[in-house]
Amino acid sequence: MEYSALEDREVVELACSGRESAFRELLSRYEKPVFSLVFRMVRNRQLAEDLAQEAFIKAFNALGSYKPEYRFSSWLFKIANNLTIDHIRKKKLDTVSIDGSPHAREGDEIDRTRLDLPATGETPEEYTENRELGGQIEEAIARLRPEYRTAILLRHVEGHSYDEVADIMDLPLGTVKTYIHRGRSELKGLLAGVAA
Amino acid sequence: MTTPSKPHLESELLQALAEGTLPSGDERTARAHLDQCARCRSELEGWSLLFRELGSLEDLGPSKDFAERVMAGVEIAEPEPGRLSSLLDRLKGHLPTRVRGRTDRHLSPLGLQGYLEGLLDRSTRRGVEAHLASCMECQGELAQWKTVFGGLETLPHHAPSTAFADQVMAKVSPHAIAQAMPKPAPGLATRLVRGARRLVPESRKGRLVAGGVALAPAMGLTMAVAGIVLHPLVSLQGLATLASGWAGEAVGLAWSWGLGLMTDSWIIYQAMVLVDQISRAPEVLALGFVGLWAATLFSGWILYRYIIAPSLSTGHHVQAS
Repeated sequence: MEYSALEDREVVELACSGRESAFRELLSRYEKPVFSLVFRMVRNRQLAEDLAQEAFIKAFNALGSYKPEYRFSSWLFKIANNLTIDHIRKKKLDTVSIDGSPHAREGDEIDRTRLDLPATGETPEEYTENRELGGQIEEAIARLRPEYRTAILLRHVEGHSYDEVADIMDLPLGTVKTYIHRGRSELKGLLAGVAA
Repeated sequence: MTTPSKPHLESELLQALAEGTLPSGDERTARAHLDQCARCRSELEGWSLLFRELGSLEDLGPSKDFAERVMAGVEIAEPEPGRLSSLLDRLKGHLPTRVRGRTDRHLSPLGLQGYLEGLLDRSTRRGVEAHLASCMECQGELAQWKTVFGGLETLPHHAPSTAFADQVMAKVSPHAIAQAMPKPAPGLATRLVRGARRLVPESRKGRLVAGGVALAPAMGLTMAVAGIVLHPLVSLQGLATLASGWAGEAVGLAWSWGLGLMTDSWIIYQAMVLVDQISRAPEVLALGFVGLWAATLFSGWILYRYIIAPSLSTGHHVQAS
């Protein structure tokens, strides 16, 4: 069967009828985007593969609960993002941030909510380069808070609308806009610092 | 009025609030501060007044050769104070010290990002473009934002290992997933049969009771029929005569109902009149038959020409290929 002409919704219908080729088509369409998002979040190839794999397995086994009126990609990214964020929270893997809580306005509030660097002995730059994510922009993205990073990646790399990003991240639209604007402002500052 | 301990709201935030572009969460926080801070309220009023006045300014276009005439060697003079200048002078009284004297109002980061993302409406976009055309500082800012956007949009997708798909499929069972899919809702007949099945008792005792309840009226009816048939004054012939009488009455009633319907209906009445007229004129009847045959033949030809013949010819091509 020729899948390239089919929309995600139609491929999902075929997968629901038990066709293995339809599952493989969904994998071929989304393995790179999902893996890239997770990889940029955890910055570890093996861990990213494990989490992306878990996301696909979870999504495939829950295809019965997928509602065709939503974009399949949004649903899949939501699962992958939730798994990744859960992992980051559990392991406290990602604690590199240049800022405190996005809601913090005063200096002491920012200090109190700022997360600490992990004691890996690596600078963020080394950490990034060691994990195959080189380049100034990748470095700068690695320094963002996880929620800013997810929002920015979903918006700019995956091309989702603000509404879709809000849906994927389970956040109000206004919060997502704030995350994206602040994330971009941080990126601008970081890139300007690198250029200087 | 108590003096708030928190610092005052930033001008950009107040402008966004006045423009109505502040996210709802930030707006609530800002409103809470404004309830307690007269200075920020005053500044907000100033910005709101400015935006209202700016919004009411008309777009005035010069003639086509305006630029050429200006550039024809005339020295550029200081612009005369216009409506905006006088308005700004008036506003100085309303604005707090921190903003007073600030004449270089640049585009906000939000505005520049919205401009690059194409999220601004046409009039706002025109305003941004007009400002950018004359403001080097904002042009520089825009260039920096372009670097950020450009960098983000050229980020590549990373590929997982080549065995990734196989590893996922090894842990997924398409057949089991298909089996676990929610089944579509059953139709009315299925639901009725299922409902009836639920009424059938499961125990032997229950079935006996249900059977007894079902048989009781049947037994009563049988006994009543037997009582009538076995009565000495009742014979089978008599019952048949009675039944045929009832049937004749029913047919008579149906016939009279049909006749009433036909005479009451104008269309049926006209049809009957037409049939009567045709039957009285044999030549009209013959012409009618000829016309009917002609129409039948014509319809048959149309059917063959446009429906049967094309499908036959398509089948032929398919076979040939």
